[in-house]
Amino acid sequence: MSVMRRWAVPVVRRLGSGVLVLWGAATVSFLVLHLVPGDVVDTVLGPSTAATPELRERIRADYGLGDPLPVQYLRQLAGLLTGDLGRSYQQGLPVGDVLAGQIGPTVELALAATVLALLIAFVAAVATAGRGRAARAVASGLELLAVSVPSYWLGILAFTFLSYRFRLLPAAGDQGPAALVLPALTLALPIGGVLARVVRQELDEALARPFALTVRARGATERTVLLRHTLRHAALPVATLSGWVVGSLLGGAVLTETVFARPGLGRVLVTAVTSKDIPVVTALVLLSAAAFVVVNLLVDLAYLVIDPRLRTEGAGV
Amino acid sequence: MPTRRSFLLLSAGALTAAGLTACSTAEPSPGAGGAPRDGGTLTFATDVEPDNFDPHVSPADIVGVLLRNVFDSLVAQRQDGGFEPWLAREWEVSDDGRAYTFRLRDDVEFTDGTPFDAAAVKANFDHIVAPATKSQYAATLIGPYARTDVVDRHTVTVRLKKPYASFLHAVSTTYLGFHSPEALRERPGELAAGGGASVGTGAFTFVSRVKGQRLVFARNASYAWAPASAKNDGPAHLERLVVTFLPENATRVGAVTSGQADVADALPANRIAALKSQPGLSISSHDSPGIVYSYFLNTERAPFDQRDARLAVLHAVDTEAITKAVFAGQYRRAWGPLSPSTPGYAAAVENSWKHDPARAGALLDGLGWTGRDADGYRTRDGRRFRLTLLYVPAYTKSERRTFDTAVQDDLKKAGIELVLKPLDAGSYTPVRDRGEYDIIAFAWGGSDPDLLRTVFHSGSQLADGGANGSRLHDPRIDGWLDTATATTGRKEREALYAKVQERIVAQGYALPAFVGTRQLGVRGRAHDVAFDASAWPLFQGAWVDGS
Repeated sequence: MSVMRRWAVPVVRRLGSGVLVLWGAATVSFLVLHLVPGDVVDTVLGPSTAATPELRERIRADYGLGDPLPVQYLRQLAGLLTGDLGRSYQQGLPVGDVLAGQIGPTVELALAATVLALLIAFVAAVATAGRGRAARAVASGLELLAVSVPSYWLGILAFTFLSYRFRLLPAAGDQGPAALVLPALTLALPIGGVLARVVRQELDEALARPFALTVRARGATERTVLLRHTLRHAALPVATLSGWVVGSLLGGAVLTETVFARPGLGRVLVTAVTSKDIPVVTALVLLSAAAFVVVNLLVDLAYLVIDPRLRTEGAGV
Repeated sequence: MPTRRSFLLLSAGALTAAGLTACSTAEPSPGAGGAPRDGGTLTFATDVEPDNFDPHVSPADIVGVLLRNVFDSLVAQRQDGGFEPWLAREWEVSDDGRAYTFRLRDDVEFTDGTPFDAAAVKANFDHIVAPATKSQYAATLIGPYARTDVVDRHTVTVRLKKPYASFLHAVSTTYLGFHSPEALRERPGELAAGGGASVGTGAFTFVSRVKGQRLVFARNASYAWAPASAKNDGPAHLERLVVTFLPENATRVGAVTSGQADVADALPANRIAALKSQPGLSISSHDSPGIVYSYFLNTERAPFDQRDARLAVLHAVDTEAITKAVFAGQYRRAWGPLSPSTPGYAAAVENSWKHDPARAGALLDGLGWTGRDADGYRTRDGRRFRLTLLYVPAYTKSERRTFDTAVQDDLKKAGIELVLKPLDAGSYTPVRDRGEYDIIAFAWGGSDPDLLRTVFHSGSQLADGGANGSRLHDPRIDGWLDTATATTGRKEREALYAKVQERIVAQGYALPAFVGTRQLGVRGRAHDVAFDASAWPLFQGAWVDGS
């Protein structure tokens, strides 16, 4: 029972606040999109279309853009509650159809990049933690470089050499795992750089703590101390940063997908924002908010797994 | 009023582009030679992915190009601007210019097996003008359309509310192409999505679309109705045509240099010189017809309500030097409102004016702008000579912004301050429609001189769905344009359009800047990619070497 409670209560509480977050996200995106100056119909048509007044009126009427804002807001909320995301202004198709097929490639890219980033972070940190100053300076410099270089430029550099010059990997598109390597690496490097710094600092601190001394006193090798004991400490801040990681992945996907011409939500978002395709933007905002809610929930549960001290009765999450 | 996506201010397409895609073949692409081989796949890399794949709705150039593979037209526009039979065997125009009768081929089938007949023509034209279609281009292109009468199974008469000489040009474009009536009836909601719902009579069928990624077209084996000027009168040689969307210039250039694409579209001007020396790659350049990228001077308010102020701007800006610098010597400067490759282009405008800062200065002195302020700008009654150019950054290519900045520099030398004012798309349209600007700049592709009416006729104001960026009300220009649209004789029409062009330059209503050029990179294995009257690539006759 207490085990059930320990896991179920925070989950339910989290889910409840998750719904609030989604509602907030829907509301904020509605307000932002409608309150920025400019007529929605003008933005939908863009400056390049010379539309007759009749066409403008027809579009306004078809999408209900002539109704008062509170009416439009309630209609949108009601739609969302019933799972109806509306129709894209630009493509005239249901938003679900617009996004279908785009979620997969982005999730694929994000997961691959996450795995790579974690790999980079832990390998770099473990290899250099507790080492001499020179090794650390080199690692630290490389990490700084990875963090500072714009992923956009890194991507262009990567395919110029690896794809066009040496023809090792395909540059563009979504044709199987080989085409995933470059974009995932481009997306992972800056994230891996940040995480590596965090992990190494945590490792260094943990290695200096009394428990590390105790473990060593039991005759454990440095390797055992590092891998079995201190690494667990280092995992906590990484879990805490996962919200930031999700944000970086979503933001980075916009650039990476454009440079590598991959399908995905990032590219859809760019087009939708530029042309004020409100139903599509709203759906993407909700999707991102949902991703954050789910990741944060998973992180909270991960704390319990990583840190046994949190599992004791009464220690809430 | 016939209006269209304008690329008001900019946009990807217009630079390179042209709009009204009509069909006809042109000179073969480099690398032509040998007997065409059937089979194989050609990959075409382009920059912009359309939002909406229904040519009856979309105003985008790229839709006209890509869907040309799927949708045929009643007539085809030849490279020389004339028209030839396509799905219509012949046609005649009534004496009053208000009825067009087309006798259709009786051997044409849609790829879903539906026969192409008079009822199909009627269903499509009625679909274009139906308010529910929300057409952003085809409905204006079709002009004063009244109705289509089915005369017999293979004869239709299209009736217009008034004479409209550009009607043949309109029906030659992809935008007035034909969906299978069955698709119109059964799948109206899916026409925008592309893929299997786009069913036409064309040389290719639209097999699939992966959003953000690629389109796949497959050969229509029963195709036997190409226009006479097409080199290939049978089915396409290619087994498959694959279109990939690579928005990044660097990616697209890399794709064609490495052979990951066979043909790449819209190559950036600053890379052309280097690409020309690449082995296995040839560059094919075509001037885009239509209204060139121009700075439209607002003639409705001061200072451009005065001719001398407009001419001062024309003389102050060295468009030749700017064009050379911004486009690495690849584009030509423009002399008049139309691109030289547009039917009806008036060569008389060439060398009729020139960069002449001294003359600009004298004109400004004459207008009383004789003072100078601390920053070196001219003043009159203590007020600086200041101009505002409106633009929307999200829709303005960087090359154009560079061009605008260079114009700003030249004007500064003449003592004129040009303020480049960025606005977002939603704020821009109302400000523009109210005429609260001195200058706006855009190009407008199309292979018909009647575009002049869309851009310079007093009845084509921006707020009414026209593109009269100069806010012009010139009765003489209106008169010539009205007469031209009611005149069917090609010579007479072109003489009228020539007068319009010469007057626009002489009056300085707009500063013509540069001629957009479509630059394609073609790999050695791809042959016979042809270009239509709008300088867009055609693939019906193309073929590739075996691997």
